[in-house]
Amino acid sequence: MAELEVKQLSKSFDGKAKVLKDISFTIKDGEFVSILGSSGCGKTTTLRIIAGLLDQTSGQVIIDGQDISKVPVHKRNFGMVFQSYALFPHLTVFQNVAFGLKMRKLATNEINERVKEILNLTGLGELAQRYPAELSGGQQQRVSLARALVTKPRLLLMDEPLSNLDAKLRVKMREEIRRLQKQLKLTVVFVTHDQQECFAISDRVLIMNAGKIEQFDTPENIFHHPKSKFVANFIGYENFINIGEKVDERTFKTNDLILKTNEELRQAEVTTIRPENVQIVDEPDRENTLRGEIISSEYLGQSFSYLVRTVIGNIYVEEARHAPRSENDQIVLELPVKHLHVLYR
Amino acid sequence: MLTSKNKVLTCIAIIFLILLMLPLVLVVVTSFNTANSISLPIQGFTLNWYKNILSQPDFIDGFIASLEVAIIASLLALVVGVLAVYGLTRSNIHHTSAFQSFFLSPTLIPEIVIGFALYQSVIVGLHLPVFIGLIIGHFLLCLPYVIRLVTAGMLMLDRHIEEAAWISGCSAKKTFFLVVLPNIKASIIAAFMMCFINSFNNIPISLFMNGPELTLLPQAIMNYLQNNYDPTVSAISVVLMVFTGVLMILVEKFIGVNELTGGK
Repeated sequence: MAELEVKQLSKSFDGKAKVLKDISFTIKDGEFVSILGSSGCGKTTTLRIIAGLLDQTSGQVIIDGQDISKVPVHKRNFGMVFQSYALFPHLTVFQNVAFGLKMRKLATNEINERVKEILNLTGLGELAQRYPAELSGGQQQRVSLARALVTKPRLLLMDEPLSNLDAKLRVKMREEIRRLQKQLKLTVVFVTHDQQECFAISDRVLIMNAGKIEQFDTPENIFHHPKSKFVANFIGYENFINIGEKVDERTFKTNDLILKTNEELRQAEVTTIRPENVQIVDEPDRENTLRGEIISSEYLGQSFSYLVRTVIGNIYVEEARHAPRSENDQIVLELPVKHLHVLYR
Repeated sequence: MLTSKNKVLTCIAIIFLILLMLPLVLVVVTSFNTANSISLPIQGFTLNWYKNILSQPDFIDGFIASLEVAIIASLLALVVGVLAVYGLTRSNIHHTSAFQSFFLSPTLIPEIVIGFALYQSVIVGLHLPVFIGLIIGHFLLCLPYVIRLVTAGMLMLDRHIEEAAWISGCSAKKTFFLVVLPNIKASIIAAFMMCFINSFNNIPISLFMNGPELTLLPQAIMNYLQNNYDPTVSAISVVLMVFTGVLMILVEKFIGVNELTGGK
């Protein structure tokens, strides 16, 4: 396995609009990195350029210090798992997995040994002689994974590999992928649009938007300290409070309301808080509290979600409770200091 | 349990089947008739007309010539057609649909016009042998079938499958032979069958290109009919039907008719 460096990568399909705008990042040896973004953000383009399936307009792809920008796909020694699995329909499971080893002209004995080993590791031992059309989606995905891993690739690329599976299987497969990644010490680039999935599986997450990197950090940091409004919005922050007037480094005034946060305001203009972190409290005179009126409520199963009208605009609140509060109720909200995050972009 | 609606449908189906099969049955029946002309009712049973085929050198030579032309033209159309389809479906070139129409265009031109044009240019103009003219003409006849059928096959093949092969260490050229061709095998064989049968049966194009040294079988049969209206023609028709039938059975035996129609 290896370290991947992407340097000032740009891509334009028609010579005008840039799909990727000068992106750079480094993935460490043995690290599991997800690229997260909505469709059209450039995440798949990035992955395909790393794989060599697409040529970049400018920039470099570097593996262990070696620039491979000009190396053709079949000489890069990567493994890739596709959303559609892309198994060879005319070959059995065994032959599918053996394909890459045959291309490397290994001895038959060694091919047999390595294929068997990886089939057992992925729980496919029994299915070796089946054809892809005779397998379930989950089984096909395993074959696809086995085929990508058997050549001991320097880098494992995965393009939305779990999107075609049902919810339960998806969770099971992602645990399995993570287990294999740790066991084999793989460097993985995993593309997905599913926030939960990539937070669960990754060492670090790279969030992309409109061809640029929004934030590249650990899931915990992204979750608790989103850097931009886009990231906050993408991962479920729904309340955005404008910083009207700065009182000191960590206090600001908006619509006559004084709010405090633990983070430095610097040049930022917006703060944010997750609906489940907003508290409904009794005493109105504590720090960071404000009055509001419930406009609407929604049942979420574990909790109730309310839309509350306040002097600083509507605020979403989530509260775990057995019975809902009724509309038009006057309540007091607390925006806890530690949960009010400053967005620098 | 047949409902009345089903009964009506079944009757209609049977009537159409009879209408379709009757001429064939009549041809088979008359080929064994002892009468000197193609007529009914039969007067007696004989195999003489089958023997007579062998004594007609035009039929024997025509059969061999037709076979040669059909095989060469079909293979040529396959090579050109499969490569063209691969390019059209997999490359990022612009105006793909224009190219597609270009390759399908021979279907728009009446075959008799193709025949005449080739006669004018290839035979009269360039003084090339009739055989070359026939190959070119039948190649044009076959090409659209290959384009249509193989395009359908290619569209069913996920392009990520090729990418998976490249990433596994297989060069693009090798991938074409190891991954693409095996997976469009069924449509290639289907295309070959269509080409072969159409070339083998063709008259309008071949009409312009025959001579004392080379006459294709359908033309030979027509020529024979002009002078003799005897059941030899029925007999050779039966032979051709059996020949095509055996071909279909062999294909079915080796690759399965299911695969031919795209099912698995």
